[in-house]
This record gives sequence, structure tokens and C-alpha cells, in this order.
Amino acid sequence: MIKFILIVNKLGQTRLAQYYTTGLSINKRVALENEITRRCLSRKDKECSFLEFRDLKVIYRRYASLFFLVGVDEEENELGILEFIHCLVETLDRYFENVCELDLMFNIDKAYMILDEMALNGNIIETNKKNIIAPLHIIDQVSKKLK
Amino acid sequence: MTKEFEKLIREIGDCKSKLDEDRLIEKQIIILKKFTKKKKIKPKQQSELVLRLLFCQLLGHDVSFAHILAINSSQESNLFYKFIGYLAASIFISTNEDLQLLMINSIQKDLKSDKTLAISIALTTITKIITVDMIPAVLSNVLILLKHQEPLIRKKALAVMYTFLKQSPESILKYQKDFELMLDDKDISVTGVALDLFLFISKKKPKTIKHLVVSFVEILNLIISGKLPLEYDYREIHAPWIQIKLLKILSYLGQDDPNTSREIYQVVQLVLKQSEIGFINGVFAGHAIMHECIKTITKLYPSTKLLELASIAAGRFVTSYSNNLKYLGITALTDLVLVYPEATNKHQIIIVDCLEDSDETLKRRTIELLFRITNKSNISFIVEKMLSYLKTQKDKKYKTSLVSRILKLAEEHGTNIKWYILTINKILQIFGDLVTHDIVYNIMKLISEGSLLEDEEDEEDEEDEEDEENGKKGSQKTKYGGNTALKIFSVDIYSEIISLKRPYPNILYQISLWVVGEYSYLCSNFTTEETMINIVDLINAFYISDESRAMAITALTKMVSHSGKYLEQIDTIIQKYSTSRNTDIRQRCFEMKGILKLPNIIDKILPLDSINADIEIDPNLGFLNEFVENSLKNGCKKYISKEERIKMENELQLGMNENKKKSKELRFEAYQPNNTQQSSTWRIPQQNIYEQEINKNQITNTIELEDSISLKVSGISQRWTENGYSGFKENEPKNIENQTEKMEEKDTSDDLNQYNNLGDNNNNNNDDDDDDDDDNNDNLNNNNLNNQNFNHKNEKILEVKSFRFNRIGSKGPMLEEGQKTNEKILNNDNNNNTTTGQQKPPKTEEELKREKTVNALFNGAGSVRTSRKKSKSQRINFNSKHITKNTIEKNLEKTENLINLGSEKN
Repeated sequence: MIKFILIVNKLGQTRLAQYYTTGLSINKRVALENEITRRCLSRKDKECSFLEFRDLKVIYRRYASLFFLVGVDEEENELGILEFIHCLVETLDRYFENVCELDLMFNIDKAYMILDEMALNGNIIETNKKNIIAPLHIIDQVSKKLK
Repeated sequence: MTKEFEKLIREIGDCKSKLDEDRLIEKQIIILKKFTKKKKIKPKQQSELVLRLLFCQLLGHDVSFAHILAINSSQESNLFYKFIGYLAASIFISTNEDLQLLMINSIQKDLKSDKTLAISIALTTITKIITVDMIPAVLSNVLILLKHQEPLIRKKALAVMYTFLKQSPESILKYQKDFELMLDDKDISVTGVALDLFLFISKKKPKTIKHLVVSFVEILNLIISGKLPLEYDYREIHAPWIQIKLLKILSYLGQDDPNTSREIYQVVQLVLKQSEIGFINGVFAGHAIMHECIKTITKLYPSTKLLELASIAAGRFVTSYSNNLKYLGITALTDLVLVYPEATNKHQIIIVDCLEDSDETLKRRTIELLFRITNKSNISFIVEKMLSYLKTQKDKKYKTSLVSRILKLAEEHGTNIKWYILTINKILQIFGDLVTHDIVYNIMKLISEGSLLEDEEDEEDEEDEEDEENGKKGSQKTKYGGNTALKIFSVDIYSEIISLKRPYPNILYQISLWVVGEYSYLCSNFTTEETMINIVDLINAFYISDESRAMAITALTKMVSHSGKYLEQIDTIIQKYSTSRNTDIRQRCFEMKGILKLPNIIDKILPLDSINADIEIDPNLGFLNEFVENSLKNGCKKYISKEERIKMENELQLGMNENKKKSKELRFEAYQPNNTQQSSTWRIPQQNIYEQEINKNQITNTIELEDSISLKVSGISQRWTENGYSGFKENEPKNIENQTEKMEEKDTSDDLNQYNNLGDNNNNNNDDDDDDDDDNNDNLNNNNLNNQNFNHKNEKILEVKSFRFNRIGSKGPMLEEGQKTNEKILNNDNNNNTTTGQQKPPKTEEELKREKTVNALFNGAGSVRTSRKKSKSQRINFNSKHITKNTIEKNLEKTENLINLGSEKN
């Protein structure tokens, strides 16, 4: 099961965070994010993409200046998550067309929505990009009408 | 998008440090707070504010003041605003539970919406915010939505059911049939979500879905045969995540179930084979499935064929170029070796090499695997590797757990005790701080029992022969039994460690000191004198703790008593540490001093190789019977047990109620010290409570009598009546008997004062009191000058003292039985028990000496004393020791000095 999905930049600033577990206060979250990010950023390219942290396993992948970190429990398939990150990035890329850090920041709502279409309750529920993006297009149409 | 929002985003993007960012957000929050106070906000502005709040929360700031904005936004009719509102609310709410109830209303409304997207968004929100209490409010709506025409809604509704299932499994499991139908949904992504539910059930209640194994296998077959729409393919692998889910479910269902497992074997083998396709492209999706297959195979009821395939697959991972795959290979092998130990045979070298990789995650996994594959043949190699890995670690917690596990490993698989001892020493040298004390006792036990394992017996025999050639040692061996070879071996090692004088961890020194202390006579590389000098040096070293120092002194004591050799340096040490601040060290110094003065019985006190000897303990302290009888003959009082004393006390109370006069007399006795300022408190309570001897003739003053009554019954406070102080007397008559006692009891009261000082808040009062005391002895007139306050104060102290006295327990009688420290008796003797008027013959030097030794032994064992009384009795012991050491004359001298001192103070 996925415990959280984090997107941070190479300075360690959080750009998106989605937790699938409750009971973490804001302060604890910040501390956790800082600690995990610090550890991931300090790892070398050649080293494996997994990090064991307390009872969590963090699987991370780097795309240009952005790091995608996914915290999972012991049971989760590490490579499956690694490929899921890639699938997420591909989907973001398809929707935003050459996604970059600023795209995510200006459209944080859409980024969250894509994530919600792909994973709920810490489970991967959809990986078909067409299915994922379809609801976003509807929202886009609605918001365009407002302008 | 307004300019403000854009500016904020750009500014956040430009922040170079966390500090800049925090400052920016704090400013932003102040701005946002102003907005929240406005009554009317346009929906557009509101949704933007919500997004700005979202950023603030994302960057770790509390925005609970504006959560309501998100909820308002979610109630907008426009889908976009609604979406923003729900999104933000679902993120905020996980930290604010009060908001959940506010949300439920709009969620209920949206679930009935005719817009697909509105339903979808509402369902998404439910998965994030629902709590158990809210389930009934939406359950019926969600159940209807399970049959919605849109796959998107069916999928999300199922996801909501998963949330419910997790929160309250019992109430949701009854809809299992509905979920089963969803497995056959024409849209594979709906099936995928249904699988999540079944994965959950398979973990909790695998028996309820065994009948579905066929369906799961069927779906898996369908996927790998490529019959799904192309969009579900990921890098030429068909729906890898659904395959993984199915494999997981199957592994739980087949666990410990041979029949189900047999149904699964074939499909797993097929999937495993199919997953290799992904390998060609260098994409991890194929590996992911293969890894899952290995995991499944290890969980299923074992099938040799599949296990073999799995170990080959794991081998491919381990030998891979990529650290990711190596990591998974090691992880897979860790599980696999439990069911299939041969799996690692081919890869041992690669596995050990992983420990030298720079990758910490990989190394930790490898360590785990090594723990599992360690056996008698590779133990020394693996432990060595682990120790060198351990040296690179910084995390103390991890190191500690690792050290204890390595120690356990060495214990379990070690074939050679000598190797074991050397290894433990090596570990202790470097990581001594991380080791628990159990290991110390373990080693001590091992050495003292001296049992070598089978394969060492030959070696042992050889050494035996050598020993016999040495003559002396041989005879020692036969005399004391046990396996001397191991003892010689270890004592040599440990004397060497002591001789190195390095700042090793204390725990290592403690083992060394014990072993050397016990077996120094067996040492072959150092003479006893050399070792003694080494220990003396060690005691003076700055790097050892007091605990070790104390052990060193004991070790010296043992060595001296075993060898009969004594060095001047030891004298210096004893001199130096007899005044140590550490009571344990001090105690041991005194013990040593005491024992050394008794050359005749030294063998009995510290026999050779006594660790395994059975020690007979006489709980009745029978050896003191003679002493007690003698004391009784000489007129000491009989010991009265605590129960009896309590009984007597109760009777006394009863008697007081029935007979006022009698009770008055009693009380008079109790507060006799009132007249003489506490000097005779030492004995008065004894007399009252334990003897019940009421000397009616002693009642000389009726005022005195009434005073005592008020004191005894309700404590000091009642001496203060509305009319003022009732206990005030101008002329306090002196009890002549007490006065004569005074001088002789000086010591006792001194002792009493000393322990009073230990914990008394009224220290000053006490000091005054002491001074007054001394003074009063010499000058009766002073007493008459004492004013009201003084009397009051004095009474109070008296109360405290008699209370303490009672609490500490009848020292006198107890001691007579010999259950307390013996010095006390001596003390009583020295002071001549004037209350009873009986005198004891003075002790001879020899008797004193022996008692002192016994006493030292008692203190050393520390078993007689209870911990609560420790500090006090120690204090008294210390004093009494002094008294025993000196003769009675000296004692009297001291008393005189004290009196002089007291008068000087005044």
C-alpha cells in the first residue's frame, strides 16, 4: 500500500504532497518530508532507488529538477511503484505537454486530480492514460466557460 | 488566474531557502486572514484563495483559520469551484476532524447529482475524509453507484467501498457478492479496483474467498494472453499492476494450503515466463512481475520445481548490473532461503560483495540475508564481514541492534568456544558501549563452567598434558576440577587486555577483572605480581568507571587471598580509595582491609574457583544463635517481632481508652525526653512500646502528665490551643536518671542526629537542638531560660525523632537477634545499656575483630540490608565501624570532644 506521494524539487521544496494515512500532524509531516528528502537527495545515481526509513520504504525517481518520492509499506512491489512513478510522469507529460516544475505549481489542482485518478486509498486504481485525462478535460471545459 | 496568485507562485518558485519560503508564507497568511474576515467573497476569488491556502499548507503552515473557505467552495454549483473546494477540503480535513461533518451534507447531495464528474469528485473526497461514523450516511448511495453506467463511477464507488471495508470490515463484508460481480466487469480498470477489495479480504479472511481462485486465475490468464485493450499495456507488458495485484491475492490464498496452491502453480509459472519479455527492453515492469512471482512462490505451499525457477530468477536479479535489481534479488533470496536453503548456494560471493557496495540500502538488506544464511561453516567469515560493516555505521540504534544480533549469531553457530571468546572480546573492544550486561554473565558462566565443545576435546587433552608437565598447575587442576584449559586460555587473554592499558569500554574491563580475579593463579603469561601491578595501574586510570574500579579492588582482594602475595601498591590504593566518594568502592576497600587481617579464615571467605560452588544459605542466621544466647544471658532484652510489637501497640491503645490513668502514665514515659531535650529518645520508645514496663513511681509531676497526653494523642498541633501554648512550663523538672544517662548516651544521640540530618528539612532546628543539648548537659540553668518558642521547637524535633525511630524499627531488639548490623550491638555495649541498668562484660579484641569481619561480609553481600533503609543504615554503620575500631576509652574521648565542641558553638 502506498502511504504517501511527494513531489519535491532538487532544493527539497515540496511541490505536491498526498498522504493516504491519517494521523500525521502538519509539523510531523514537514519533519518527515524534510528527513526523507534530505536522504534521497544525498544518494548517488548508481545507488538503488529505494530507501528504508523507519517502517517505510521510500521509492524515488528523479526527473530533471523534480524528485518523485513514494512511501510504501513492506508488502508493496518496489519495481511496480517505480514504474508507477514513470507512468504518472508520462501522464502529467501528456496532459501538460512537456511538464516542468512551474506547470505543477500553477496547476496544482490539476496535478492533484491526475494523482487522484491514478491512485486512491493508497492503491493504484488506473494506469490507462486516456481514462485518467478524460475527467480533466471536462473540468478544463467548465473552467474555460468561467473566463 | 489573478496577478496576486501568479505573483505568489513565482515568489515561491524563487525562494532559495526554507527561511525565505517561511517568511513569504507567513506574510501570505496575514493577507489571507484579512480575506477570511470579509463576509461576501465571490466564488472565483474564493476558489483562488483556497488554492493559495493549499500552497501554505503544502509548505508546512497551519491554515486552519480558513478551512471553512474550502467547504464553502465545495458547495458552489459550478463544477470547477466545487472541484477546488472538495480538493482543498480533502487535503485540509485530514488534519481537522471537525470539518468532516460539515462536508457530509454537500457530499450526499452531489452523490445524487446527474453530472458524472460531480459524483466522481464527491466519491474521491469520501475516500479521503470518511470516518466510521459517517459510513451509514452515504453507504446506500454508494451501493447504488456500484451499478452506475459509467465505468469511472463504478470504479470510484468500489474504491469508496474499499475505504469502508478498511474502516469497518464487519459491516461491509456482507456486500461481498456485489464485489464478486464486479470482477467480471467489462472494464478491466473496474476489475482492478475490485481486486484491491479482494486483496484486503484475502489477507484478513482468506477462507471466505477460496472459491474465487478460479476467477482470479482466469483473469490472470486473460491478461497475459494479451486480450485487453492496448491502452492498458505498459511498455509492452499487459496491465502489470493488475497482474501484481492478482499474484498477491493468489499468494495469500495459497499460503499453507496445498490444494489451492496446486491450482495456482501453473499460472504463476506462465506469468514468470511471460515476464521475461520485459527484460529485453530493459524496463522494470517485467522485473516487477517476476519479483512478485518469486514472492508468490515463496508463500505458496512449496513446489520444488517452482522454487528452483524462483531461485534462478532471483539469481538473475542478484547478478544484475543494476542496484535496484540487486536489492530486490537480495530481498527475494532473504525470503526464499527460509523455504529453499539451496537458493543462495551459487551466489554467496556476490552476496558478500554487496556489503562492500557504497549503497546503504543494499547493504542493510544484505546483512539481513547474511543473518539467515549463516551456518557453522561460514560463521567466522560472515561475522568478520559484519564487524567491518558495523564499523562504518553511525546510527547508534541500528548498531546496537546489529551488535546484539551478531552476538546471538556467534552464540548460535559458533563451534569453538575460544573463537567465541575472542570474537566477543573483539566486539567488546570496539562496541562495548552497545552491549547489554547479559553477555558479560554469559561469558563468565562459560569460562567458569569451562565446557569446551566436542571438536576441541583433542586440543584440550594436549593442554592437559602440558599442564601436568608443569606440575603445580596440574595439581591445581585436579584439585579444583572443571576445564582448566579454557580458564588458562581466557585468563591469559584477559590479563593481556589489562596489561595493554587502553581506554577500552568498561564492560570489557569488568569481564577481564572478574576472570583475572578468579583465575589469576592459572595465568601463564604474567606472574600474579605483574597482574596486580597492572590492576593497580588500571584502578588509577582515568578511563575506567567507578563500577569497574570497585570490581578491580575485589579482584585484587581475591588475588591477594589466593596467592598470599601482597604489594605495597595495594596499600596505597586502599588508602586512597577508602575515602572515595563512591560508597561501593569504599565498602570494598574496607572489606579488603578486613579480610586481609584474618589470614586464618581467608580461604573460607574467598575459596578458589568458588563460582560454581553451591552456597548454603541459612536464612535463620543460625550461626548467630550462640551470640544471641550469650547476649541474653548478659541481660539483653529478647527480640520481639514486628507483628508482636504492632499487637502490643494496639493493646496499649485499647488500654489507654479504658484506663485513663494508666494511659497517662504510659504517655508520660513516652515523652520523658521532653524534660531532657531528646537525649534519651533512643531508648524511651523501646521501653514503652516493646516492654510495656510502666514505672508508676516515676510520675512526679501532674502537669507533665497532661502535657504528654496531649502530645501523644494528636501530635504537636494540639499543643497550641486557643489560649496559646498549653505545653509551656517555666520550670521543667529534670529526670535525674536521664541526666546520668546523658553522658553515656552522647554517642547514640550523635548518631541519631546524623541520620536526622540526612533528610531533615529542619536542619537548622536540629543543629540548634544539638547545641542546646550539649549545653543543657553541662548547665541546667540554661534550660530554665528557654522560652516558649524553644520548647515548642524542641518538642517538634522530638516528635520527628521518635517518629523516625519507630519507622526505622526497633534497632535494639532486632540487633540482638543478629539480623541487623552487628556494630549496633557493640555500640549498645559501649554505651552501657543504662535504661535497663544491666551491664555487659567488655569485648575482647578478638571478638571485636571477628564481628567486624562478619559484618564486612554482610555488607558485601548486601542482602541483609533492605534498599529503603540503605542510606540510613549505611550512615550508622559507618559511624559504628569507627566505634568498633576504637576502644571504649576512645569512644569516651570522642564524647568529651563533642561536648566541648558543642559548648564552643554556643
